[in-house]
Amino acid sequence: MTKFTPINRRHFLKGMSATSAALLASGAFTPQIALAKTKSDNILIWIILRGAWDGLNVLVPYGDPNYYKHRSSLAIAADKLHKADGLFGFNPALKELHQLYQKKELMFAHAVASPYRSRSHFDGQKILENGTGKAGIRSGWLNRLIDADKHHKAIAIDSGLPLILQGDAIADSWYPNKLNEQERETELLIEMLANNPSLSANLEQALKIEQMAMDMNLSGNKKQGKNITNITKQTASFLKDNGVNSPNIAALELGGWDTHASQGVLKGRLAAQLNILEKAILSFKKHLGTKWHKTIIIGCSEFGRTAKQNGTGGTDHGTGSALLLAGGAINGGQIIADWPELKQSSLYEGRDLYPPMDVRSVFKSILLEHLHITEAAVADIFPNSQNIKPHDGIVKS
Amino acid sequence: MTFTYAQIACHRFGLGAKPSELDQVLKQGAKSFLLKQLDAYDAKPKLLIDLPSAISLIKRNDTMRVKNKKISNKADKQKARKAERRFSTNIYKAGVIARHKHASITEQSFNERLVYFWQNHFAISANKPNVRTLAASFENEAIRPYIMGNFSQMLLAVTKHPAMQLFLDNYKSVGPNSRLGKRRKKGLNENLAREILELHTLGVDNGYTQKDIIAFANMLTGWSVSPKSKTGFRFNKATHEPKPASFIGKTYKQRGVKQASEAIKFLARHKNTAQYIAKKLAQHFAGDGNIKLTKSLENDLEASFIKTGGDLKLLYKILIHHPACWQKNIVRFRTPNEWLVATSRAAQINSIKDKALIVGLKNMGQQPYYPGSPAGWPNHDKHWMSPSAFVQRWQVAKQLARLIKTKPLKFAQICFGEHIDEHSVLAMQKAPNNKTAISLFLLSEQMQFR
Repeated sequence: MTKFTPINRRHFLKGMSATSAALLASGAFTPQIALAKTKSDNILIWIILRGAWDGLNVLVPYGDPNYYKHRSSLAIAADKLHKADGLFGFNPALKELHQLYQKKELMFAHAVASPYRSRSHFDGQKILENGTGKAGIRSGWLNRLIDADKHHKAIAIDSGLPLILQGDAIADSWYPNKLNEQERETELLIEMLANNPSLSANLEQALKIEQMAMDMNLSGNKKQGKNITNITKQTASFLKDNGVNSPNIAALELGGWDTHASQGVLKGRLAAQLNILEKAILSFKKHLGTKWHKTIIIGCSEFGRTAKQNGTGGTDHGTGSALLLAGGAINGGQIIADWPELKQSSLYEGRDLYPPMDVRSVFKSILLEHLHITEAAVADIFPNSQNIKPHDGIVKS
Repeated sequence: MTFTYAQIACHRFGLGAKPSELDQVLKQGAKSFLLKQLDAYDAKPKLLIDLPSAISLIKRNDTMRVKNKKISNKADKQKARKAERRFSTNIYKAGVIARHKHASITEQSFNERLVYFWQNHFAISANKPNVRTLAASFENEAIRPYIMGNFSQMLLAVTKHPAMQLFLDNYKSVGPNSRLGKRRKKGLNENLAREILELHTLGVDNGYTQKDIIAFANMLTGWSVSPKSKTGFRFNKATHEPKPASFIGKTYKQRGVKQASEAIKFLARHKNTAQYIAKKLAQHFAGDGNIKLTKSLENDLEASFIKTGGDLKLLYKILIHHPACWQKNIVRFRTPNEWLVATSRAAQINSIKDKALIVGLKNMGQQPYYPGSPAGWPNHDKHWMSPSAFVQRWQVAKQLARLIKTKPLKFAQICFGEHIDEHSVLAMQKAPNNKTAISLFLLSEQMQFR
């Protein structure tokens, strides 16, 4: 997103207060800000799966006999799975995603992890989102991306701002709400908050986004729903919009994967979660329409769960896990995995799936080949990771 | 924009000024106003004493479960399930509303802020159905009675409380060599042990290993919940791992509940715990605008914690006396709940509809007792500051503005006395009506930060 210099911010505000509320609401308002001339056509959707999903029961390594040893009651029988190849099968809840896989529009990387090697959700998520390897860094890698290459603009679908989009560059955010009248209150608010940079920046962004949401108000229904179908539909319309102001990158979250107890095999918490994720991806495909072939969706969790099930019908925090990729722009229909096996001696610290591959090698290849970020910029976006090479063959050539 | 000392006492230390509170502070002096609150601390506020205790709820839920199990008819079963859900919702709501009302009228809002701080430090989340009804009792039984005492007593009370036992799954954790563990295929759950180390005491990866987590989890087996006990906590010998445990360089050979209690005492006095708590408290009251000043506060807090073995009241006194907490510039952004409470305090409105209160906080991303994770609500301001968060707050401001009958300028004076930020005054004067003026004021910089 374009950075506001002191001068163009002033222009912007002047433009705002001269614009009447009626104009604002009618959509005639155009911000007087300098923008990159062209916008990237390629779409990236980031879905963080907060809570550490159980990769071993999402993409099941049914060909590894140790899997069945570790999970006496939590293992999924091979005949129930939708087979991907001789080693892996999709969880039965992912029937339609398996069809996408067969159409080569979906793939997994398995036995992957961020550089984080402890088991705290909170630090794990921070490191996944800041892309640095250190929990304390407060700027996210998507923020560094839009800062480095002005062809890209990002929006957070979130009632706050997730770490992945925090940082120097200004990112939009949107969440369903009912605010639908812009009155004199808006003008006064802009004036009143002009001296507080953070509040006024948030207000400016909010107004722009509201404007977009209103312009595109699909059904004419003023009440914006918060279910996943509606959220993905609205997100898709932001991403589809061809205006130079509209985003081509979206960051969403889907929580609820922390299945310590009663995980359920075929029914239960994990299956319900997977259904929501499946719905989200299918809805993106439907609503992105012709843009689907330029889209990559990343679904990624902070880490995985223990290979062995615990005493309460669930699994505890682990290390290696699966990463999901979908979209018309990926080279789908393959599973990328340097499978370390689940035998006791191969487990990380004797308990977790060992991750030979760093998730950043997937991210890097998408940045380079899909978003056309320069190598130098990628090196800044993921600092201190020279030894993590981009993985070939992920993006459709 | 800068704050006066009296404003800082009411808004940064306290949860916002009530009518005439600022005058009171000016009369007494800001520091003595706060010190007096500590001495007058009321652990059992009037508005909260009628809320049901954890044990009464557990007993009731247990009786109902037995009763409902006997129902065979499908329609009746569904009816019973519905009734249970309604009961749970009512209990949850009553707790949230009483807490909000208390925060809105209390003369001790610095103390109330400390309750919020500790409640969030030991966060539980009501999105687990079995925790939902107990959320308020957790705060009232395991937090309020202990905030002026010693950290280790609070840690012990929190760990034993049924809400924490249920939230972090410990009640069903079984020692592999226990009587039950040998007989049945049940085992250890390390969730509570991990979060005590990571979130309640030492801090993440700060002086313990995976082995320590397992050793601690073993010691905590048998710590459980029962409707037949006095408080809801029960030690169950049949599931307790009987072996000595080697935990952070020491062997714990004690039997029964004493074993993990000793480990908890050890953790509560650990220097890493002191450091972790000091940092969190310093951040809460001084932010990180002036890193040197905050660090100096942190050091003072840490040294006192170590020296006294976790005397909490002394920590609060250090806060009151340290210049880091009295910086005139903004140090923190108000969370949605802090912002709403500050508004209620100034308005003294009892008319926020119960549903509007909960829905408003939910839309602003902070539904009471629903942080969603044992880490509690995020501790840093960026989380709460985004375009969409702004819009959500704006919507709630509009709703609140309809309820507030005080004249806008008078309302602003209740909050900030004679020192109202000129930008807000200007905007309020230009506003087409009182409702808009109040709504603008609620969104002003002075009202959104502390």
